[in-house]
Amino acid sequence: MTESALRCENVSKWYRQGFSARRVQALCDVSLTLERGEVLGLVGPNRAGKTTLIKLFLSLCWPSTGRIWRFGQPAYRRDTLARVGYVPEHTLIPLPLQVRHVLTMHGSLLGLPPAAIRRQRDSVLAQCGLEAVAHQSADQLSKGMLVRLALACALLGTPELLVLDEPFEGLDVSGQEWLRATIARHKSLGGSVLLVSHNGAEIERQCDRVALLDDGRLVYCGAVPGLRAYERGRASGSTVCVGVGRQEGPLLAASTL
Amino acid sequence: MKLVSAFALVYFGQLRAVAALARKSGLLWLATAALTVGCALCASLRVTGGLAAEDQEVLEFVPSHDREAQRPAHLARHGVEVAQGEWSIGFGFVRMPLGRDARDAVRLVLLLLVGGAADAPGLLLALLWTAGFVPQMLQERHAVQLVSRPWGRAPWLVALYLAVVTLYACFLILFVGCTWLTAGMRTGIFWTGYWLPVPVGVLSFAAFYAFSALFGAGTRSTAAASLATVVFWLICWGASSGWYMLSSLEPGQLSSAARTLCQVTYYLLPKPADQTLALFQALGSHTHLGVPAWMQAGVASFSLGIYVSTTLAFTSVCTCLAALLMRRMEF
Repeated sequence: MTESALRCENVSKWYRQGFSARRVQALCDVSLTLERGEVLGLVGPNRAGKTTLIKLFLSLCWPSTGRIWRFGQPAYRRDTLARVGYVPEHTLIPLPLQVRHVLTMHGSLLGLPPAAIRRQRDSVLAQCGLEAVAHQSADQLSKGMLVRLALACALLGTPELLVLDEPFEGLDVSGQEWLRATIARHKSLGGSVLLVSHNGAEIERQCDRVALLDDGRLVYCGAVPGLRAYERGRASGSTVCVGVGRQEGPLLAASTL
Repeated sequence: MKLVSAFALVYFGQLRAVAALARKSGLLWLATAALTVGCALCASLRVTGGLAAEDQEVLEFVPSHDREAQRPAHLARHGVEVAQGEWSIGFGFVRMPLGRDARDAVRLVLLLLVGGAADAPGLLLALLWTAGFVPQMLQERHAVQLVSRPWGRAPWLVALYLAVVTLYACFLILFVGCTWLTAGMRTGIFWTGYWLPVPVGVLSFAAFYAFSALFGAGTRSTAAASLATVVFWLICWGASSGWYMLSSLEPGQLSSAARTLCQVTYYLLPKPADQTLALFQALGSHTHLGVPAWMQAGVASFSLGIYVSTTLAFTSVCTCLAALLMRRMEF
């Protein structure tokens, strides 16, 4: 059996607010699995804990309780991060560095040798349509081009898993088409994608499964049509069955909304 | 070996990023302006006259503006020479009578220039300008994609710290080199001792920037890091100056607890007063400038070895703490 791309078990995360003793719960007892070759959508309202969950998966912060694995290894093993490409929600490169130099910097942080960095850099520049701006300063790029640059950085090192946090924001129609094609190509090559989006149509179009976070809790995880039923039930205030984090798991929990 | 080459690659990446930040923040323009002014002053330096003898150390002489110089016959009887001539700067805008000889005048000008660049004024300006680099690089929007890479966060921060120190070292080398060359080509006097402030200045900057990086990593705020670095420099200056003043105090003038505190802070913290003294000794400034009165009693206690070793120890501890902080940091 192959290991999952991402897995978390009973993960909770709370932050201390400023210097006060008050704690803010960002995630509560979340269990979720992203299988290899799968595209999982992560949805939920603002402040639901989506970005926090992503950061936990990428060791950008640590869980207060619970455990996390990447490719079968505990999340504290940083070497598995080489198999992940991440596009953050708010892409910002404040440095007046040339686009190709931004990519070189990311390549060096992947531990790639200089020749491989150059080769892969040229390849992702072409793949992301950034060849024309390769010598341009990154802080002068438009928002859409910055998303492309962030994706180019993420694609360096040919990752097995792409974690995309609101990647469609700021992209024009052709950019969105290009991103869809990139996700589809990545999936066809056996890669996994964790896609965070507020755009329901994109989630339906791209994802095999969807996970819904609300107020730090995983309230639904399963097929996309099931999410629609869940949301209809939620709107009418009826009782709805929800799935647990594992794709193959039975419907275990029931939530009355 | 593979790890070293990988670190070198990350370091050069950080160096490029730091240079970009310096360009964006205007630091490069400031450095270029300082370099231009320094070189212009050296290019405008003109010396005429001076002592006849080359060996100035054994020569008996008086400067031309001295009262004794008005009695040349008397001086000649005793074998004392009068230093004739003048030196000017700013293409004749500022004229001064020659104190000794041409070499002496060139040394004074270079001494004032390097004192500005490598001692307190240049150091504080560089610290203020670069204090924001670490917090800026650690801003969440910029850093999350970088620190989600497999490369360790701690060496990433150390590479960033080294890149900033390298930038300052490059500026100092360029400043000293250009002014040295310009003054040399203008007057024919190449003073090799002028290069000694480079290691002293870099050592001091490395120590204070280690504190700045630690504070910047802890707060991720440019304003807080800048303010804390200046306040810390003032505290260190007070502590190291206080240590020199101790020697001039009578035993009963200060409590033993205060004395112990003064000793402990002197050995633990970086020492701006020692930096000034190290520059003073390295440049042989005693012929031009006097040691401040409050330091004179303690000058004999100054040890270059202790200054260098304790400064290096402080730098290492601060850098390690900043690296540890970076490892545990949440984004």
